Amino acid sequence: MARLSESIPRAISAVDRQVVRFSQLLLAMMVVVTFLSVVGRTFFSQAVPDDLLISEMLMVAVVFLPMGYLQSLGGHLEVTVITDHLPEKVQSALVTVGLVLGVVFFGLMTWLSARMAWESWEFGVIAYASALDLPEWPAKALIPLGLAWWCVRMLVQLVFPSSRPGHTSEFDQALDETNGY
Amino acid sequence: RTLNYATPAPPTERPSNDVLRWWAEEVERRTDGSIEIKIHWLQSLIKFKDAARGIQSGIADIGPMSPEYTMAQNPLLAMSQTELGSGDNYVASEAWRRATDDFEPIEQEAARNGLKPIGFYSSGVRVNMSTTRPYLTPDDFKGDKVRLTPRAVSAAAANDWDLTSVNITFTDLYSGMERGTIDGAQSYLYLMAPYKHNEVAKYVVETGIGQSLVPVMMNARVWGSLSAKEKQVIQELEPVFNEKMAKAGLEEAEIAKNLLKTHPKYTVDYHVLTDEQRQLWEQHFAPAIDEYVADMAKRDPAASELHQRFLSQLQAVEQEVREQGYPWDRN
Amino acid sequence: MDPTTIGIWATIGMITMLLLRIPIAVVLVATGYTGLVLVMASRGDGFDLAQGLMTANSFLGDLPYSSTAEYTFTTIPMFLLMGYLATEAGFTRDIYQTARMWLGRMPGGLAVASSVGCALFAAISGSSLATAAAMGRMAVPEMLARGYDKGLATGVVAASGTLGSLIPPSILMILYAVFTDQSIAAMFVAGVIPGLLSLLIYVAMVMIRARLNPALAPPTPKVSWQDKFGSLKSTWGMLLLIVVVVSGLYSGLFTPSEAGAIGASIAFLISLFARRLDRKKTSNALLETLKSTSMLFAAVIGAYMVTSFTALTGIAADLTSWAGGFDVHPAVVIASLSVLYIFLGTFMGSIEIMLLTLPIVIPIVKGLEYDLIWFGIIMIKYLEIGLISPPVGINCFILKAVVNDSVRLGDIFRGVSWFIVMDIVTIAILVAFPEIVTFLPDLM
Ligand code: NA
Ligand code: NA
Repeated sequence: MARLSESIPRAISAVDRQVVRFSQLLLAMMVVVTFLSVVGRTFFSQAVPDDLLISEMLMVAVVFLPMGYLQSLGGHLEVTVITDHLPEKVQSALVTVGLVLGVVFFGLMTWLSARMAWESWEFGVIAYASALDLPEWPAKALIPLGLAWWCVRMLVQLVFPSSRPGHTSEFDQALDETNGY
Repeated sequence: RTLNYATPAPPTERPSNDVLRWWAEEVERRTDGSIEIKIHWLQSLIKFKDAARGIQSGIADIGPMSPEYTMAQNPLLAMSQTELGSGDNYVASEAWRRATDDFEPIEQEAARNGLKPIGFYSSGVRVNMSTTRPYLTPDDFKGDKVRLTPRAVSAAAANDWDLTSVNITFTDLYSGMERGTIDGAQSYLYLMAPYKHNEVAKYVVETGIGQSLVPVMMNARVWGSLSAKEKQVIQELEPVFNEKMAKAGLEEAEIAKNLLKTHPKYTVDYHVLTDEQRQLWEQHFAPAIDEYVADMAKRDPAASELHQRFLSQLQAVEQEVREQGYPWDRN
Repeated sequence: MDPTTIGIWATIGMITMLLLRIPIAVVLVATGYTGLVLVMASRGDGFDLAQGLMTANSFLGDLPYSSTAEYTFTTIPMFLLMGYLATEAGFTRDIYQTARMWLGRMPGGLAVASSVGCALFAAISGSSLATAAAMGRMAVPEMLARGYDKGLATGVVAASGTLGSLIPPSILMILYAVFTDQSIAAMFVAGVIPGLLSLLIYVAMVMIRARLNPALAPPTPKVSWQDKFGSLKSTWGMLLLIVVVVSGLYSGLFTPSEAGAIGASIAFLISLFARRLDRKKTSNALLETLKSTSMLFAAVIGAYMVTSFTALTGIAADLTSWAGGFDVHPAVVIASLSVLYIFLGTFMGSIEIMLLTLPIVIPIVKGLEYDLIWFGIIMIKYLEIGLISPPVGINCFILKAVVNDSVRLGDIFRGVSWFIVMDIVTIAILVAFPEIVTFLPDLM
């Protein structure tokens, strides 16, 4: 068990690095598409066809792919104003509750959005007003992938509490604050 | 029982909103209050592009939808979006009614999608607005940067129009025209007043061709759960609603036209196409339309037949109106 | 159960979960989903769970795509990236160095500089979120490094970020103008003076607080005039970036929605040209952008779900007619509307509140014969308070996203509380002297 609690999170992090690298590439593409389109229409009378659509689809990827990585950093938004004053044990229990709820609801969202992506593929849905007849399913398929990967990370944190990111306590923060003086 | 009606329209005082409010009250009155309609304005319940799915799933019970957003699911309904033939609100909706009357496949399609059509109306005529010169024929583009409708993009490619097709969001249209990001755009006459496009456009050309039909759908399960009397009320109201909406649409077009011509600060140079100019645009659009119909026919073979039926009805009804006027003007 | 009761219980449940450290994305989706199931299940006679589940499931399946595949949203990562790139290249450090030399002796000088920076950025961006995101990235680390109070450093940017919607261009103003049939141009013009007034009041407050308590914003040592002018040289990168983006925008080279991507491209090209960017720094900027975007939109998705559910409960509509229903002096109606908007703003997003309340509020305002442009500006000011008020203050979340672990959310909310008080002062002034809002559009 002790070995698993280290090797499993480590394996997941290795995959995460590749997911993040891919997301970085897509984010950079988002910039490039708009830039080329503006330069193209201004100087060469030719914009990138479906530029807005491509950006929208990349947006979907940029939002959903990094969610699991964010979870590993403890990066999702939470309000700790009150819970910081509670004992360590209670805080840890609340984090567990949050993970359970997260797995339940985002697990459900994973399944339902996968169904939507499948439907989109089956119907051969073309993105609205696409000049290049871009299919919608690839962008839609990234959603359940990103969400599922997030759920896997939450499950691992649920099963192996040692893999949860450390929450900086008030005490640590107080220590940090005195560093400057 | 309260039914939620979701519309993208802002709750302003305008003829088509008056018809909607009238319809809601009439449903309530004729069902002796067993149905109450609550209108949710300006996409506050569902976004317009998600309307079909929102109604299908039951978030909204009733609402207008655009067949363009869900073409894969409703290839037949997609035939109601025209680039050819009259864009007059009454002509288009009456022609569509005749074309789909007793046309079995379109009812099957709606049922497959979990929707029950309870009325429809037309966006009315399209306009070409611009800041450089009026776009009376495709030759007038002269290298301009123009925001085109989807099928105009194909027409531009097929006919080698001298323009740069620019995609910007509808929200950016105002500042885009104001600052010269684009020189012109295709739009609808009825949108110009509420979105203040007269403040930034110098020339407006009423093309007279092409429109978007907007079906009003009810969730099929909700429909199934209505009593026989309630169903009857809604069905009886359908033709009245359609005609009132067509009339309201024409009134709105008239209001918009007056505003554009007589606005104290922002008047535009207003043009209406001649028959020859209109035919020229239609010729240019024809290959793009053929391609569109062929695409839809791959999804449902009945699309080709429906397209033909609609086109010939468009001509027939336009002829009728030319000779006898609108039904509410006939004695 | 009637929808209003479900709505009230859902609100209580949502706030409880938020305070118990359940991640915000989870709270919003859980509340929205459960609420939707309950409302849809109890619509007919009796309780039809299958019906409730079917509707909510269909909605939940569509939600992730429909709430993110929206072109206007792409401005958020694009402006974030611009900010991160400028930071990685050290341009922001340079400009703060300069600001510190020039404004360092002024009480709270860097905070004042950040506030002014937000106003400049607001003139580029149509959104408060984008303003807070980009400026937060540039300004906050610099202030923290100079020993500024964490609450002040983050609070000033979170609050000044709200100028993004008050200083045109503004997406909220466009929405309001369309909704109420007013001229977009007039609405834009009307926002200029209230926007500058808000800025002035923020700056005055920061300076007074810093004067009274220098520990909040440690002053920097005296600098010679020669050094002051010398420091101007290093600001060329940022100045060029601002000049290119603003002039490109106003000359129509690109649209407000495209400005973020162009800004990011220009920031990249300038940094590359100045040899201040390598592979690692670029990769860092991209990574930070991804983290912030993903974090923010995980919550936005949930907010959409809650909004649709709230619209179905009619709870916002009930509250609005309640607030407007008193048969009393109009000033009391305006005051009760203030309370309503500030309350809704604690936990809902600006656009959502606007969409839900306008259909009921506008007839009331018309009945009182108030100027609709004036009311629009007041309302946007209310909505901007909502962006920074706890427990759901999106601008504060953005700041938290941008500064990561170095500042707690509680500190940010403590920091903005001063600015919320100033916002209330600004609103009082705009209510007392409506001409401040109306005179510019009247000139048109
Ligand atoms: Na702005
Ligand atoms: Na808030």
